[in-house]
Amino acid sequence: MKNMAVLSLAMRSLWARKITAILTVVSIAAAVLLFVAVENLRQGARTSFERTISDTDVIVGARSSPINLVLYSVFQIGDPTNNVTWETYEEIKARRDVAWVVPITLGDSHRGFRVVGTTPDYFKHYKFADSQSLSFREGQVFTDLFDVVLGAQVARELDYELNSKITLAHGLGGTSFVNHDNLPFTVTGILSPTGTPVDRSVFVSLGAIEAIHMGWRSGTPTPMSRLNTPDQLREKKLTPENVTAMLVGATSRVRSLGLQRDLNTYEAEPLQAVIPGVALSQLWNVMSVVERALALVSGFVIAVGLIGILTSILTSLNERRREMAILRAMGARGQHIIGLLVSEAALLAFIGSALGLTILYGVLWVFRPLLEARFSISALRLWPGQFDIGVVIFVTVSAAVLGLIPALIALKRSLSDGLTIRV
Amino acid sequence: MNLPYQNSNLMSTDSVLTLTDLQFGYSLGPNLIDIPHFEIKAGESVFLRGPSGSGKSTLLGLIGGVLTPQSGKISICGKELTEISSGQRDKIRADHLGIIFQQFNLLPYIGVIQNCILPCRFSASRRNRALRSSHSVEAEAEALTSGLGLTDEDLKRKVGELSVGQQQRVAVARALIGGPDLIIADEPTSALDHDNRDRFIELLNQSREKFGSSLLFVSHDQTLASHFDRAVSLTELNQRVAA
Repeated sequence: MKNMAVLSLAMRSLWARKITAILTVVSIAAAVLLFVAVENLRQGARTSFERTISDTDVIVGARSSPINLVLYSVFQIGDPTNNVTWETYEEIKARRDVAWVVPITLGDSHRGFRVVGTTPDYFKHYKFADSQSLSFREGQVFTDLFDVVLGAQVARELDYELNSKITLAHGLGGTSFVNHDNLPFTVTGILSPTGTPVDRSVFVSLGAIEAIHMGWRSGTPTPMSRLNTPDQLREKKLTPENVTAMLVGATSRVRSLGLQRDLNTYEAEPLQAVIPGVALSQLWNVMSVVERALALVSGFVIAVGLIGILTSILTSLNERRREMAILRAMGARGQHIIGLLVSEAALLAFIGSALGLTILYGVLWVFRPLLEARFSISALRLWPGQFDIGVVIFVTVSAAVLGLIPALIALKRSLSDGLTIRV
Repeated sequence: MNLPYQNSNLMSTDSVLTLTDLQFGYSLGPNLIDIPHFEIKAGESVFLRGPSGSGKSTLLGLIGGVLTPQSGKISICGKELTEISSGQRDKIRADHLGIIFQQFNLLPYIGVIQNCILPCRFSASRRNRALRSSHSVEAEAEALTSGLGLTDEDLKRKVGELSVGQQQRVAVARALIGGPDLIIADEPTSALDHDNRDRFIELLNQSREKFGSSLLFVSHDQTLASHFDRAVSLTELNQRVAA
């Protein structure tokens, strides 16, 4: 008997028990969908995480932990511990192994989005993904003291356009009681989406940060602060005393290690210099605990699905004793009985896992326009890849191996039953 | 089905089944089967009267090659079952035996014709013999079932929608397809009423004679014995010491 014949009998037999079969297939589909979706999200998260910053050789800030520095300077998470003096910035900038320095000043926000005070060089040197530069969807970089550039998500969520007027709030929280509402800013540029924290940032010049804090003492405004009109402030030469962090580009990649060492042992003030790639992978390792927990849980869901197949076949064996006796009497060999039950298990698993993949990628495909509008390049895979096919094969083969259990039981029974049909 | 094909050209003096000094018992239990000698010749129909508990099922399991005896010989068309592997015994069963059960003969999830051609799926020789008289095994199954009085309408129905009598006739067609040497019928009439019973046995006898197949008909009902060439009582045949 050809193997196809066993397979076709297995399919017909399954179809005769379609309610159980469909439920089993659905449970496998759900398990595989979950597992593959978790893996896809994990990969997507990791990819978009690694794409966050590129071409910056060293990030410099006040001494704290490397992870903390990367979190607040790149990811807009957590609070800077201290500032770096402007003199240090100038000295680093003057070093022979330094090609460029972009200073960053944090501490203000706009409706929950963080304000980054920086120089126009930021838009030239900040790179993400594979050395991709920031680009302006509309408008251009700030030129006036009260110009502001918005990240894509800020503009989208708050519904801002060019020339919208916005005011900044002091502090990093969503609700601030101290506002800089006497000095409104004008939107002059909106960035294209990047899929990085840049999308959630509000950019102003370093001078603007100085201007809005003019007359402030230790984080609170004094009556002096309201004395200056925007035009008066424009007249002033606003050089900051401090910056929060710096993105530094070395003249060559090989020099970045020496540069990092020099800055970590900087004598004038305690600095922390990190190489973004190293810090990012440290940070990812912290998060990988969650990642592993997720993978473990979804792996267990697959195991439960496989046990479901086993249960459904084992339960069916009693009512199929007659079926096995008939097949044996017609000349079916032991291997046919085994083949029938093993291929039944494999079929359930294969159809289930293929269905799971189809549903997952179908949904991703339907929502593709939405995903692509949000992130310039979606980090999620939209088509099944090698991993997914591997999962289908793994689930199918595991089910086939588990199918040996009912198969051997049925074979043993069919031998002890002889050629008698037990009703 | 114009000319029924003959089975594997056995002479009427050849035996299709020979049991010699056959002994069987489950490992710790008493002997269930102890048969010094039993033989069925080619073309012969034998009525084996066996009340329940006489070791009937065990004997059929042994002849079918599913059970192996402790000692003695089982020979089917000259082939010694005790000297070959279980896989080869399965092949002998597929090639030489047609089996009809008491009831529930058919797989409910495939059609009537598909049920009929099952033996051809497991035995190449029966498939080839079926193709000698029809252009396909399906056509052969249709010819056989119509010869047994099933209409085209019946063939299109689901197995479960057929009457018990119709199901048993499909089982006969299935047992006969590809002309096996020996038909084993295990109480095939017990679910039929009296009139249907006699008609069924006549149909079975007529059809199997066309193929030259021998018949071993097992039943507890002595009244059926007259339909067959020879009647044997299993209780007399089986010498095992009664518990």
